[in-house]
Amino acid sequence: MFEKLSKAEAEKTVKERTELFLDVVRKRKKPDRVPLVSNDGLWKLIDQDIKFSEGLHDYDTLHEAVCKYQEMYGFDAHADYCVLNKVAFQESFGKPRFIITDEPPTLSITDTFSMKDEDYPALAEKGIVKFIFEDMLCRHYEYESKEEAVEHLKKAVQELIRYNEYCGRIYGTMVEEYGVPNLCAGGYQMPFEFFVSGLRGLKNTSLDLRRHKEEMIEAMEAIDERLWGEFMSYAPYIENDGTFVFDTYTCPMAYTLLSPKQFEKFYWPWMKKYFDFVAEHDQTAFIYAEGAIKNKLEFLQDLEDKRFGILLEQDDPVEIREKLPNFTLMGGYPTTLLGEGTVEQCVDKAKEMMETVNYDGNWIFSFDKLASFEGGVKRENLLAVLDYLRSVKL
Amino acid sequence: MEYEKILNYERDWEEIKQAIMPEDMSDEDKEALMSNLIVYSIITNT
Repeated sequence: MFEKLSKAEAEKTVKERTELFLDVVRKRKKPDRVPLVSNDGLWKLIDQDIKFSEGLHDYDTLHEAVCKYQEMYGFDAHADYCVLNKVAFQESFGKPRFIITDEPPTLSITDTFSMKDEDYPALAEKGIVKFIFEDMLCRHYEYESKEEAVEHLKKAVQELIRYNEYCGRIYGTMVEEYGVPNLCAGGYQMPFEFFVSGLRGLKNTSLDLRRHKEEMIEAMEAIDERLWGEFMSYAPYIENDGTFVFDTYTCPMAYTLLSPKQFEKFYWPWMKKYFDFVAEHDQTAFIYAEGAIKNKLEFLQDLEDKRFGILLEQDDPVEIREKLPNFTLMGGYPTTLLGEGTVEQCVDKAKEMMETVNYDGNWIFSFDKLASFEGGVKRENLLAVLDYLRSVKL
Repeated sequence: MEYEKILNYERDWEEIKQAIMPEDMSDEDKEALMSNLIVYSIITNT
């Protein structure tokens, strides 16, 4: 068990853990051991017999679940503290987009998107905030009057405040009581992601790539005024005080829709801007690459060494280590094995990866796919793998 | 239903912001929270 620490112990531990990570990412020296990062979403609730319908509406329960998860497994950092899905916030708008079941435990999102083909010029002209306020909010939630909209927005802002308070509380608790640094201090999202995760959905975005090419570019420039503006309000001033690993992160997901040629036009200009910023400010960055990034590697191969980490979901970690020596690999350990394998098989896989991907000490352990499903991970397998990796001195 | 005519940014933004935000918050914080509220209402992966 990895119990809560005293204030002094936590201060010391969080700095030691951050230094361990930075030894790897900055390639300062071979680390003492492999740093361990949890790539767990909601499996921690399943592991503790907490119903999704309860946990996802009760921040005290979530907070306790994350603390117990840390006490059980003793990770050096976490990819998620159950903050990815703002369920209670979304529900407060009166038309829930998340569908939760407890038997089996699942969380899914409805495939409903309200932006129409003909809305592109309005989005480009108004910018994302004004566009959603005027054109999308009432249409999407079917508010028939201003009063109805205000009534729901009042509830929603209270839920957003509760969500923000939970985030601040759990990040603080992990640093101050468990000595666990946060993975990043901030983040930037590419504007193309907005089409898939709210405006148009997968199917329409795919069609728009052929039907509305130039309008999409104009719309992304409008969206990015907010995204980049918000990022610039704090990112240049980030200074690592020893409580986080990477300065910032980005989580590309919708890029998997794009061919390399489309990626170059619809995604790379914004991604490159972000990477250039990171290099110019001598910062570090973490890419949580959802899906497979294999056919986009050519774009990443020339980035500066000693500042970028990448978590892989579907790619072969051995191949990525070979083709992206300028990146620190995070993860690649198969989540399916943690769920379906035996303890022996799981430890053997960890031993194999110590040879195939950690040959130079430039690997951060994590599992490939976000664990959020029943049977996704077996407790004894995860404990055995972590125990083994902690025992190996590099 | 012409949903696009219910809210007008120039006419309604400030009024709604003042109506729904906590009173003890600075105007700068209210504006930032209001913007996030509106964006997150539709964009889920942020």
